[in-house]
Amino acid sequence: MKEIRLKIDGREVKGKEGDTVLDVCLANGIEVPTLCNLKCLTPVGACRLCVIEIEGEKKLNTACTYPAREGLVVRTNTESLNKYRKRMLEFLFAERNHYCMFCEKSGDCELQNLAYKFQVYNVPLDMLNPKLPMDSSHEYLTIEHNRCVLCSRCIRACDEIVGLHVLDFSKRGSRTMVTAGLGDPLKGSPCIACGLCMQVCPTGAIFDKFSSYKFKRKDCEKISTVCQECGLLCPIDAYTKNGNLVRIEGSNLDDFRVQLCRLGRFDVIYGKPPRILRPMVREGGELRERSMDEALKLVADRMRANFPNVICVASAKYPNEILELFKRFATDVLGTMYLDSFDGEWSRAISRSSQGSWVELGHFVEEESGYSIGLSKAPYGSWEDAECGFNDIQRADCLISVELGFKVQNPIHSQIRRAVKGGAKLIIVNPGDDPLGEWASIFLKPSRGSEAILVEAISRAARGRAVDLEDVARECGVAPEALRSAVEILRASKRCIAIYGAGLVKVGGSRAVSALFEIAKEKEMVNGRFGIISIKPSSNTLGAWRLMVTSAEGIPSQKGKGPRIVYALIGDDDSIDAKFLSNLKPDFLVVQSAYRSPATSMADVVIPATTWLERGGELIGQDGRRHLARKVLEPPAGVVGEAEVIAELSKRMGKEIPIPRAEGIGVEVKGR
Amino acid sequence: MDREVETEMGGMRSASSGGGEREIRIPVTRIEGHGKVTIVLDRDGNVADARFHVVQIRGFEKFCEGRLLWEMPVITSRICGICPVSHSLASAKACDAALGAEIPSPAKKLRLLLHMGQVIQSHALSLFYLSLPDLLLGFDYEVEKRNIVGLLESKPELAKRGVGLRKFGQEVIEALAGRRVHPTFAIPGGVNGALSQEKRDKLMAQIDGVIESAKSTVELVKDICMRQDDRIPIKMYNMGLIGRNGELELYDGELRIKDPRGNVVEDGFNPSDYLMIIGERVEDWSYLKFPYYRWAGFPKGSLRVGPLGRLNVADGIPTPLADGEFREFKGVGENGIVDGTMFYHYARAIEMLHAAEKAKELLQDDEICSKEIWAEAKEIRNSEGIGVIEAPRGTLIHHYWVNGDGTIRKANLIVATVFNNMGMNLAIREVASKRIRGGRFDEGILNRVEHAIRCFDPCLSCSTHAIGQMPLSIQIISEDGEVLGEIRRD
Amino acid sequence: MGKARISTLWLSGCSGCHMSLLDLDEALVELLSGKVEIVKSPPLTDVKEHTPVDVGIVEGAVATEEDEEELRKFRDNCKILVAIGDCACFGGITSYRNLFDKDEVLSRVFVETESVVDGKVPASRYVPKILDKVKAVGHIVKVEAHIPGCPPSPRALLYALKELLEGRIPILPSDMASFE
Repeated sequence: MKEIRLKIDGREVKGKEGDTVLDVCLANGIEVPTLCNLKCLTPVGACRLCVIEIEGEKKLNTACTYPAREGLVVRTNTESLNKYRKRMLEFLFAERNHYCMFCEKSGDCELQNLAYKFQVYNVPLDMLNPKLPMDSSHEYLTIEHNRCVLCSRCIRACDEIVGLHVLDFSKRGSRTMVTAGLGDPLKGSPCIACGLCMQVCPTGAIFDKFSSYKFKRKDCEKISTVCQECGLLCPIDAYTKNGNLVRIEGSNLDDFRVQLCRLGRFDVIYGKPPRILRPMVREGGELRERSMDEALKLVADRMRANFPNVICVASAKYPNEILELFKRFATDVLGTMYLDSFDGEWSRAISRSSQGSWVELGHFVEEESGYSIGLSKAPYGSWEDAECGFNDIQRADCLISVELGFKVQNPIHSQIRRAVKGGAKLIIVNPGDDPLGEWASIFLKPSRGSEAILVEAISRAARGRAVDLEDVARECGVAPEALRSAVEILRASKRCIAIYGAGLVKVGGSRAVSALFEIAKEKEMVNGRFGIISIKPSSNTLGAWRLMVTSAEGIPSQKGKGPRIVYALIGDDDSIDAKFLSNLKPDFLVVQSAYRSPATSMADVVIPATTWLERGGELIGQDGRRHLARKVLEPPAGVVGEAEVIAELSKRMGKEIPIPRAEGIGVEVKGR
Repeated sequence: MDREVETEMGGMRSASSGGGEREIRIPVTRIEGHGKVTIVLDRDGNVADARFHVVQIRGFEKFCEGRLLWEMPVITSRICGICPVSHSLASAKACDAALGAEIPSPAKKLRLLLHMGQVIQSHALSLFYLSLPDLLLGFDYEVEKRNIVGLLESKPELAKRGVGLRKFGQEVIEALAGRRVHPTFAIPGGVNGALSQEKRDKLMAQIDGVIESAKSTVELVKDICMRQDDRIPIKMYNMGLIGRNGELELYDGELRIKDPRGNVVEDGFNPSDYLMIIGERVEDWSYLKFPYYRWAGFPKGSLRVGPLGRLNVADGIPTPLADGEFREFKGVGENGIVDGTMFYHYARAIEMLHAAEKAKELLQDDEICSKEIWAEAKEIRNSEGIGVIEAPRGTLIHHYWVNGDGTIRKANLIVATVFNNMGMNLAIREVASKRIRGGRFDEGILNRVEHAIRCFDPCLSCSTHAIGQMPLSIQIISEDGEVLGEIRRD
Repeated sequence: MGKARISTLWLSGCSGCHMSLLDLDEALVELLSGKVEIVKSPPLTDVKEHTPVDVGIVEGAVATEEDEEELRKFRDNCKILVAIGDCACFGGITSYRNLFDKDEVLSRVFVETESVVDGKVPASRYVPKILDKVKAVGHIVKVEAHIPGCPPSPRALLYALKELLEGRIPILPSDMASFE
């Protein structure tokens, strides 16, 4: 971009064409007060605090909306401007009810900080003291209209970033209020509780009622890390006070990645079940609390008596360091062949799909004869490198979303909504309800179990292969016209991205994945990659795969000689299907878990485990890149870290293995 | 100046010589708030009635409506700048109850420690800043110097001990909450900060000195109280929280009420059922309400609360030094009841000693630096929450009715000074009756009336959470209410 | 040079600002034994009448007719008037009742509260009339300096006192300001 030169407050400064004056000021360390501006949002000039004088212009302008241009002479800090700003602040204080002494936001409030800066120590205007309502209907968010300065940050964030536009102004003049819909309570609105409105609110007008004076930045320790609830690994700032987690915010206020989901922002603080704090051992059919020493002794004895007939399964939510250690324990200490991750089935399906096989071959293969299924050799390539990132969704003209399977709406849904707003067509395939349903051009709702067939048919038809769409529509229970329209949209699309969740893989396996990949292959590349995004079932699915913790073949279900011992490292993974464990037919089941679950109630020994907040390490995310997670909290008393437990077990088994160094170091990822 | 008072009083006497009731109004100073006293004289110039007017109201009981439960401890601490901690604790307890939250044990200990800091600082303020200037310097000491500054000049060691005790109490509060006045510490479900080892050590280093200081304060105050010629005895009901074994309890426990003769009339009463036994009356001449024991009726059932009320209902104190003093104190009264208003000071000093001992006990507790300080509580499980504690000045009740979304539907607050409202009126009457005969009285009455009020350590900002202010002036009016004159000191 | 004569006044508030003043602890003792003479101060001294002073410090908002009257007298008797605390500066929590109708407030407190028996709103001449709206001190009389806070920190108060003793009108630096 072309460089421009301006003069601000007597200083020669540089900016880029397209910058606003405020952009140039911020880039050059010139402080201009503002309440409504945020880099991630479209500037609106609502608060009038960033007023500036432009030489040659009689009226005052707002820096956040004034385009910078070559040769502009700007003053940002004159006595009259500051007087004007102070008066603006006084108006704000007089207009609504700003009672800092009991405001949860006091100390972190931008309005308050500006009042300090401009020494607004009294208000020489009549205080209006309007009685405005407070909306605390929502589970987490409270909108306190008495403290609102009508800056519209929340409205813009909800619209421009989240793509929902739940919030907007209602009423007029000084009674204007930010409300959901037409003045409706937030509860019952399409709000997805992502909490972004709260994070961008400059005052205490939107707050989290449960944090009740626990959170004040100055009293907290801030740890910048990634959220490990899912593979998106959103960058977060976790705030702790006295070793307790009090607030999670998106780290990146400059762009759309600032959005989190309710799981990562709120549920992780307020919505978790009670922890398992002491080891338990099954005695007489009941689990009873025992000391760590007793529990580990029992586990070591049983393993020693039966190895190598031990099956080790880990959650792929764990970071590489712990997975690597788990692998060494399995291979070096137990000498077992049976090692897998709980989402292994998923990885194997993808790796066997054309998406997997293609990358392994490393070049374009025009396949005339259908899909490349059932390769004899496991594809040890980085098949995930074929995929585009979810940031690329905005580049697509067509999106096909197949059963994303997220528990709550997250930034991926927001990206899709934004792309639709930008003109992209959305085709949804989902046997269940879909949160993006109303945004879809075509919503195909196949009968459960038939989604793979539908996807395959769409893929063939879109690529001009012969398919009887009427027949498929009947079989899958969708309207034939809708199916035809979907195919037409796909055909017409130049740059299409298919996004699919684990549900499709479970039903359709590698065949369904291949079907989608084949569409992507025929379209333009997106940002140098294929228009395909798989939603990984765990936060470190790819790490487990590359480390070869995930087995290439899976674990045989037939039993060998002697009792079968299963060691399940579950941690805080709440997606574990207990059936997976019962299918392994364990004679002795050891579960290391943070919470009680069907898996722990099957177990013979339960060992407490950490949650993701209590461990750091390297993860390979949704995007195929490495992310470093930092430890946010110490585990509660009684909970010993997984690394220590595994090391201790090894020692009791008569073989010591080195504990990989703590978070931040990572392990060398060898293998796939 | 004193002469002027006399002259003016004389003038008033003559003005009212036509007969009829007369009133004397005195603006009260050196108490924590605003108030006025009217002494009504009968035709013979003897005291017919005495009224303590409180003239401020702020309306917390109304404007809390619609606020969030989670904000209540912080809002209601603004009722009073002297005992904000008491309000925040009673409020947090009421909120815990509405949430059905069981607070973690370390959180409870931290709340208790905060409370002890509060009791120490508040009692030290009452004794050294507000009352001892009268008692040590004399009621007739120069008016400009009959205050903490005068005390600093004439008895610097003693006054500094008082400053030091108050400071320690405030430091406990500051160590826990980061500030001294209106600390934000108690929150629904627990407290919002842990005590650091460093701060604990700092407080521990001082605690023995504080206990020593509190002990010698008991000796001093005991001596002074025992020497008072007028102990201002009043027959009243006494109320306070007690522990499981009938011991003094300041944070939890159950209510016990004793009648004026010392018979227990309510025992082990769940404070959450307070509405069954406590009513409040309103008099046209004060913004302060008059709570009373319902089954004894009004005004007979008026209750004495605070240090004297508490020690009157208690069977013991759960810390050794204070308990020793308590035994001696009980010896002054009959059937466990000490009814000399002046003995409020004595009781207060014993409680301060107890608070210091209890603070030490808590500081020595292994859990006091624990990080387990709140219970996650999101759901409004009960539509009502009641929190009752013993504030420095007496029983304090916060009662909230809560909507499902966590907003407050209604609030009722009964604070310690309100309980003592009738007690103060009776004490003034008692003092005045002895000193006003046939319309004649000496200038000492002004301060003696005030001192009778100071015994109760009324915290009028608290009590006027509802409205008001209190300068004290003596006004004389005729039977039909015509103002005949007013006494001013200058 | 003689001692600076200071009086304090307490309108409708919680006394927290006065407590913060006491929280100067030794610094207060030092000031009082040196440069400052407290003439009239409700929690500290027994002087009842308004006397001319150099500096008047006022806490609390104006909520009753009596507050207003007292404030005007106080203003007439001091050369410099300093408003301390959010109530005096802005109206503070005392003014939160402005969101409600005055009669609603009185009726809740004296009639409707659950523990009240036979309630009535006190209206005799012994209690001052409640103003319709609570106001900040500066809305009634001229104020030379504002030190906000709920309460102002002892540090902020000490700063203000020292500035006054130096003969300057204190303007609290931004980094000492706090509204809570």
